[in-house]
Amino acid sequence: MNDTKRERLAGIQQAVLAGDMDGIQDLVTAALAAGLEPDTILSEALTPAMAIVGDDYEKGERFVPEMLISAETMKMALEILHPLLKEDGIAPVGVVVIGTVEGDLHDIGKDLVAMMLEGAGFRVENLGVDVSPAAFVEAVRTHRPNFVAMSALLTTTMVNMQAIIEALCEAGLRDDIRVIVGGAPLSQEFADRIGADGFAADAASAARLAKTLIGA
Amino acid sequence: MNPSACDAVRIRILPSGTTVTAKIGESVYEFLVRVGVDTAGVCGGAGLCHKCLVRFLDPKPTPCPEETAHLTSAQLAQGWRLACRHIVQTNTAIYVPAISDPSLQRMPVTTPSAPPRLEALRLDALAGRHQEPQGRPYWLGSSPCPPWPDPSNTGSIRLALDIGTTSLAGQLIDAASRRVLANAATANPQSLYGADVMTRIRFVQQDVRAHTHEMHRLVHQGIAAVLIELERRAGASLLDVGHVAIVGNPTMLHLVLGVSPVSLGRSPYQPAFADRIVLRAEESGLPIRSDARIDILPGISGFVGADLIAGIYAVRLCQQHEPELLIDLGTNGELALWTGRELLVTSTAAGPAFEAASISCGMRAVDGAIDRVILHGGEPTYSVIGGGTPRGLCGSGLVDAIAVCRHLGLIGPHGRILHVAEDRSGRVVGSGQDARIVLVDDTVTLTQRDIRELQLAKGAVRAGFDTLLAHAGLHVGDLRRIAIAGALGSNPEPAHLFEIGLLPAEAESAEIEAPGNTACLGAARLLESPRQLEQADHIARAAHAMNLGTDPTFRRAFARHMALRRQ
Repeated sequence: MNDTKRERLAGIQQAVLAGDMDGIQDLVTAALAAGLEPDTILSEALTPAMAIVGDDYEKGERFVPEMLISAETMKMALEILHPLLKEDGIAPVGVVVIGTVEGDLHDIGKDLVAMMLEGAGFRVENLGVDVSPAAFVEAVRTHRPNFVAMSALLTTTMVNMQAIIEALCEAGLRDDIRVIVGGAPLSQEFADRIGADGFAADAASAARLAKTLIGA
Repeated sequence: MNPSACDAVRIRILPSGTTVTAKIGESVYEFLVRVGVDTAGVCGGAGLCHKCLVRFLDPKPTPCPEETAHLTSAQLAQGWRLACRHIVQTNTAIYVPAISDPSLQRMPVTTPSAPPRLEALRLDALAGRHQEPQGRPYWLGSSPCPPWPDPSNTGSIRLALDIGTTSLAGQLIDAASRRVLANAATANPQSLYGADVMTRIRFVQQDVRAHTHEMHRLVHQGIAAVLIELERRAGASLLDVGHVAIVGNPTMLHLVLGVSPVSLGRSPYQPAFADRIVLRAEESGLPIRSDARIDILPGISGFVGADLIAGIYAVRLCQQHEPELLIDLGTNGELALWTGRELLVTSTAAGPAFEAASISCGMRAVDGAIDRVILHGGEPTYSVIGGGTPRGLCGSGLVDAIAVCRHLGLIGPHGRILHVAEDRSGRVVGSGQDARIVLVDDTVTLTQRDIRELQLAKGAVRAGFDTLLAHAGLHVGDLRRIAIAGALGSNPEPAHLFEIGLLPAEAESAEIEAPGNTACLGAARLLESPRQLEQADHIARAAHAMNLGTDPTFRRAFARHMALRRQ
């Protein structure tokens, strides 16, 4: 790769870190026009940028608002890249079905996890908030994901995670997927108790957890 | 609720000297809220605000780590503790400092309860109706619909009450002269069960009947405190109140009436009632003359309530052929857009930051609160309510302070506090998550977390603004007038609203108004005549509520407007 291409990748990475929502799509379009492959832009500019965002967050150097700006910027880049990646037959690292459990309307944390996963190369089917066990089951049948990721932000709704896992068992789908859970009131101990495969304390570690579990 | 002898102790509350039974195991904060003693706490006992300071006389409990970190050793030695960090264990005496006025400490310490007949009536009449609003009022109660009050024989004073998620506000108005006699506000005691509406609805869901009753009791306890304070300030008697208008978001109005709000907590978020409700005071639980008439103003949807209707009326939206917008900053940031032909309304989850309730040095707009910050000769200068020593920031002071710090470069465009090594002003202390900006000595500071709270609140409101306009096919430049209301303390400085991007830079050519608490203002004005009151029903019928939660452009706008800059 020549230096100009490297500079373009660095520029895209910098734009994501700085949350340049106005400039990002032009940078990506220009990079594609200059001959960079869509999957190179994803894996060598967007993924490292989101990894830095995640690390900074864990170190307490970046906060939710900044993370949201960067993640949304990355998503704007992915809007251009996704159709091209599909055309090129580039398979995602894995597929994740994600949602906030029934009775719970919190979406910021869950959307951040979704975006961090996308940044890490996963295809994410975001079911939104207040998602019933039946809707999770239906989405697993349709999208055949590697992971089901569930979020709950209330002590009163986190118990609904168990019902979703049971519904997946009853539908005979539990063995095909890994269940990962997160949300402020949760703990590793709670995740173990309800029979989840993994727990992540925040968006950055959720992406890392999924990558570890899938062996990527 | 009579605790048996073995799990109950007696606590003497000073300075009132009342002795009250407490349950072993509840937190001292919960106990004080339950019996109606107001502390300065604003986080609902979560241990975040460090404001519910009380003094234990004997015995003094061992300080917890948060107290050793936040209180001076002299305070600790005197027995000052955070009420939410200690549980009731033994008979004791506790001194609770008055937060704004001693009369707020004289709230009824007995447990008020709703008249049982009315409770049954309400639950049967309203719960589970899930009806579409009919756009006309109906009355509750066994007696005929209360007539329009005649000021000459049923009281010469009108009362407007704004039941907010975070704060309860009231206003007394002389009916003849339309003069405002007094304003008063207090924290909503329901905050004990969560800062936002959804958390409180979840609490009710756990035991619908008992918890609806508890939330109803708490809100009436807060209203009683507001009424006592209003009476004192106005130098008038509540017995002269002949007519009351109550506004608030739908959840709060359900709980004021003792109706379960659980249908508002799940899709399709239907209220049990939305039309205007008329009832006699004796059936409301309000401690005023029994024949006073109460109008609970109509709402629009499960999220958009009577407070916005009153606001729309107060700022005279919908009367011109040109587009105009009303923004009401509260725990729910509500927006009303008049396109020139139709009225679109929406609500965004801003959180309590605009009321400074989730802010480290935040406080209600009472004596000692900084309500304005402006730059004077390159230095921030403050105005303090009551003129004394500043003790904290109310909502308007917070918005101003962040705008000024942003202008001085102490806060970056994404909300990050300048690194201490790069700071030449000497105002930045600490780094990373612990960074803060010293505003006044060491008493009033702005933490990194405070700025994040305001970013989230501002981002939600501005995203609502952009999405609503896009929906109507309008541009910012089309807006002739923007009214920015809310009980922030003082009116925010318009230049600061542009500086932090709460308002779009292109709106600078529009007429910007800051009319204050339009919910109370409008509610009081609607009571002036039957025809005016019917306007509320008209507005409710005409408004189209939009749910932005499902709008994909909202999320993007939300992220974009996290940034604190002109855009």
